[in-house]
Amino acid sequence: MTLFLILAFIAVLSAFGVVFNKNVVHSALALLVNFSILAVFYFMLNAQFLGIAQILVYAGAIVVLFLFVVMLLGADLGEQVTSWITWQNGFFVVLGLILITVIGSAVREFPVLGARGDLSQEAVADFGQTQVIARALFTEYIVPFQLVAVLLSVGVVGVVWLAQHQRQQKFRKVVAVLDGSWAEETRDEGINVHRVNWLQHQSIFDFDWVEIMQATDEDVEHFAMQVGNDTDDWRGSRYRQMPCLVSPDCKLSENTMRILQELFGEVRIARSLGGES
Amino acid sequence: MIGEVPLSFYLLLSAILFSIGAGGVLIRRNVIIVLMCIEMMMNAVNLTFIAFSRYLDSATGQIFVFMIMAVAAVEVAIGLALLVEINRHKPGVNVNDINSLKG
Repeated sequence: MTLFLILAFIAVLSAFGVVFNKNVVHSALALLVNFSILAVFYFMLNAQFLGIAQILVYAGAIVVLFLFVVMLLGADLGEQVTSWITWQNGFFVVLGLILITVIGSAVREFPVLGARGDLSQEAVADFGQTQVIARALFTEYIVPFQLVAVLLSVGVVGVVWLAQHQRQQKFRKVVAVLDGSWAEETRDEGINVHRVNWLQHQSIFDFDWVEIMQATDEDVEHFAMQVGNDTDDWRGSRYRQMPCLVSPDCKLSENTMRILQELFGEVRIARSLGGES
Repeated sequence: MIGEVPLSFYLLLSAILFSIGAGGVLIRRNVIIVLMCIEMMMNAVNLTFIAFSRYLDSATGQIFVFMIMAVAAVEVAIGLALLVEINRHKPGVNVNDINSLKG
């Protein structure tokens, strides 16, 4: 009984720790404590198989997954909590108290129901507890068990698809366009080519090639200056291999053309990639 | 009685953990913490199942918990994958900012 009360206290404390921690990593660690305490409760309730499964699945896999995501996204991305005491939070606490009252009022010592299942002391002593679970799982509950397998497969395929989908999107080409005749900022050609008008965007972004359709020397020089001052290493290494298309209609001075030739790998007088020159 | 701890103690503890989880979902605006609170609520339900399984000497409760664990693992994997995906389009994990399906 004392052990139960101590563990219950730690469990509730760690549950509060998950909710009221400004650092996401600390929340994840509090969650780990909470899961582990629940595993101990499972052992106390004679459910050894699920106690081990709890430690493996929750404490092992899920908390690690949370920590991975926190590391991937950065722990500082969360909400900026200035104070916990707000009207909104007070309202939520009241809602929580109402919920606990409603659930708690249903809790009482139930009289021993007549029906006794297959986990009786004799069966457990005879086979051991895990065998009883396994027998139920592989005979009576075989269909749900198979469905869980299907669910896990769908989950794996879904997650892989999400990652794959992103990789395809990454190969979409982005083109920096300098065209004064455009009213809009971006134009899509199917799903493969995405054109962004730098004249309206006015700042540097990741692009795969440049098209100068209708721009003054001043605009081009301004653009070239931004590209030249770009401190991003990855982009900086790509500019030298990048084609730069200049429309024949666009009358640029020789000085401007020389600046472009210094910046980009290849400056072509053309309307489109591989088109007329 | 379960051993020396009455069943109602386990049920009350489970109710408390569930309510804390539900309150956390409402109070916090960080998607990762919201997912953690949902996991905590599922665990509270699992505790109820196992307490009743012990009390009724039935394996069914434990089978239920087994299924819930599998569903929870899939749920958190897909939820976090979606979160990472959303993050590439729009940095930040605040649920108030994630209000548009259009990237």
